[in-house]
Amino acid sequence: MKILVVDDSRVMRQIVCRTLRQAGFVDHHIVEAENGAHACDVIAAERPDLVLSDWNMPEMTGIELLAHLRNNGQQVPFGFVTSEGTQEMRDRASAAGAIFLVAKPFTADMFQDALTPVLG
Amino acid sequence: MNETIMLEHRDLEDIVSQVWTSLMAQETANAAPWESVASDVVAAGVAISGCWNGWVVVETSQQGALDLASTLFDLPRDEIAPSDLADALGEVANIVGGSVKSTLTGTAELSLPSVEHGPSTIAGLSEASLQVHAAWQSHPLRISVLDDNSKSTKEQS
Repeated sequence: MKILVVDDSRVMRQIVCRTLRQAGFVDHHIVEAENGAHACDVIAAERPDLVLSDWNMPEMTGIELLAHLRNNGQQVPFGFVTSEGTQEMRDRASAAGAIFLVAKPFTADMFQDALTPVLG
Repeated sequence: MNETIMLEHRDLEDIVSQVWTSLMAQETANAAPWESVASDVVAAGVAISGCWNGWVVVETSQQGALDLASTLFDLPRDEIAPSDLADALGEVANIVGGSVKSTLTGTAELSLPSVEHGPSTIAGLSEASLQVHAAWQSHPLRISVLDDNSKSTKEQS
């Protein structure tokens, strides 16, 4: 499967990729984008099977990216990996169509619990 | 008017410990308060605005920020670019700020992190009422939660 990791922090994209491997998701192809607007281009070109996105980013936020995708009929599975872990943000994410929200700081176990239903 | 932040010193210590353990698999230790702000300090801050308005700031030495970036990127220190250092410390501030924000009961927004080399220009930071002093790999750390209301009160008095 192909996973798109969207985060404006290069180190966090690297940490997410490392944690995916630690959680046992080792045979997946990872592509990256540095904000929501960039992710739109990458999604059109790469057709990922799952999007893991930060929430707060310049250019286009994660929630704006999710709304843009759904408004354009794209139903790619979408989860947030964000420092925004309040119930309010979880409710907003769920209402917009996200299937999970993993709050930073996270562990490999949290990735396993959230991603196994999608990636198997 | 700001919501009262339900965060105590011990809670902020726990947040810092959890961030360091999760991100770097390393512990922080308690440390004595800084007697003065070193000139080589690097500060990363995020603003929270909404039901509570203020700043969450993470400060360390230049060498501490370099080691932190080296650990997070899993790269030797001499391969860490200045932009990597700012990225890594900014992301730590973002995560600590998000954890502080999650203790609020009302609605608030978290800003993108900003990073400063040298003593922070955020007014009133040294007198922040909620401040944790710690050490990581012998590097000094100071994590401050600064209420904008207390700052403006000090500025008026």
